[in-house]
Amino acid sequence: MGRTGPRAPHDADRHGLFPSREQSLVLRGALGDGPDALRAYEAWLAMVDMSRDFDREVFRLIPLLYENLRRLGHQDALTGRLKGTYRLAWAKNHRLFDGTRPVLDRFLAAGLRVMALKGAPLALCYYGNLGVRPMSDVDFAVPGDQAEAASQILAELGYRPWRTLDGDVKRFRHAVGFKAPGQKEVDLHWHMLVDLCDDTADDVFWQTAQPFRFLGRDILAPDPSRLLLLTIIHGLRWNPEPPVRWIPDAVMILRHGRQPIDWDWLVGFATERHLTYRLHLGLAYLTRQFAADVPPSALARLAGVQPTLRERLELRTLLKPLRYESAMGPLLDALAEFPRLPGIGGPFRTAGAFTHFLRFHWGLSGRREIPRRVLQGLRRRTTAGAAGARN
Amino acid sequence: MSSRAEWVINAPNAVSEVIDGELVVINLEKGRYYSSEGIGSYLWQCVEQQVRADAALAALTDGFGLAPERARSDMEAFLEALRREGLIREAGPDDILTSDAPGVSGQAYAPPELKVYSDMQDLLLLDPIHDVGEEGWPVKPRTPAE
Repeated sequence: MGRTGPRAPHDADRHGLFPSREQSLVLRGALGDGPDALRAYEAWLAMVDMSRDFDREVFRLIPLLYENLRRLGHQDALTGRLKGTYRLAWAKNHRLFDGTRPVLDRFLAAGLRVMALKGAPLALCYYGNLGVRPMSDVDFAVPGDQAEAASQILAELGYRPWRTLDGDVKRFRHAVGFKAPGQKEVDLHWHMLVDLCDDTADDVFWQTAQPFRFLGRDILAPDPSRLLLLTIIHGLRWNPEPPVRWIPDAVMILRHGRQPIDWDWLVGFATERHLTYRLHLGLAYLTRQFAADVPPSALARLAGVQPTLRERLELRTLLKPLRYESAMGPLLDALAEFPRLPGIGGPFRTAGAFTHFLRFHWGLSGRREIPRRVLQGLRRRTTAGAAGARN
Repeated sequence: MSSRAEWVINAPNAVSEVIDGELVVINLEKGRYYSSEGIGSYLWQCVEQQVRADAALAALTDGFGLAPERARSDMEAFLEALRREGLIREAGPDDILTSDAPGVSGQAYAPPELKVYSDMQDLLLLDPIHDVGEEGWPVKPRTPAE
């Protein structure tokens, strides 16, 4: 059975979802081998203006680029500065990790079950190198019923959340970022992913989690199959500045190879959770651009799943600039996210629940503000659109 | 300080990596960054591998054809710098030492030197492409007077 929606090659050309030309060259330089990597690096040098700031995503790839060029024995006038970005990332990551030591100690002393997500396990287990993957925070997950206790510990250690962990945040979000003086940042997760705010999805991750030695303590990390899913689904979203770090992260997981990826589980879980399109899009891109070792049968099975109405609605806002450009973008954005929330059912089943979610999503003090906010947004975007057309 | 004293890394305060032959170390407690090349990097590896001081000294004298007194003097000065910065500590009864020193590569001998960057908080704010010298972060650009 084939798809009726747009296919990967069409979307792959869309700027804002997949890497720009500059980002692609740096990625090839950072992940490629032999002459191809060097050609990409030289092509990037030819197009980049060194006197200006780099694209943020490009900047975050430079340490990995340095490491790959070093591996290939390449040196030039820029090598010292590239090496400096590696040293800086290495130093910052060590400081960041060290800053979370008291947090981890208190979590464990309180008997919390702790899983490290994203950067820490990726850097230590898959890149095997703290210098090549810059990070700005450390992600810890705890089971949903331990989130308040973890939040309380963070508060006692001087961390402040960007949003108080109340009932709505717990229900509608998967994590909250906490900051403390001294550039200490922790993301506290009670669900693994914004797309999976659901205890039943979390159970799979906890059941398959693996021991992870972090800062001399024994905690958990997702196994490679679950981490690959998190990496691709978290990363593959439209943004004016395309997020590209998911690409080297996923490539490193796939290249690591010490444990096989459970492709049957990935396809099955993605199907059950309405994630097949994005997972296929990401894996197909990795295979096409970086010769990632993805079985054709897994790609074919993912491609053969017809996206559900719910998934198609979601894809309209996640993979395209709709939420930024359309007058109805914010409303469609909320409509797309709403059906994933547990215990709600279809998007229009519970008008009360949706308006409550809208109030939360838009940061309003009450539901009465919703119509006014919708009208304000429509007026602003329509005016901006008309001005753009005149110019 | 005598080379008869045995030294180990002061973990977890001191973390290190050798990047393309260059040793980089952070003292997380003091917030300082250090680097050393060549023999400094080699001696750090000896401490990291918990090589007995006499074995490290023998590797230096044999590997570089140095007079024992010079090798001892250079090594002790470097270890003292590391100790002063809190990067190494004297080995205790639980530390298992070895007499197998790593091989000395074909590098030319130069006395080991520890470069200290004490203002790490400020250094972390530097743009590592535009605010640094050709050597890259954390080395700031040389002023004309230098």
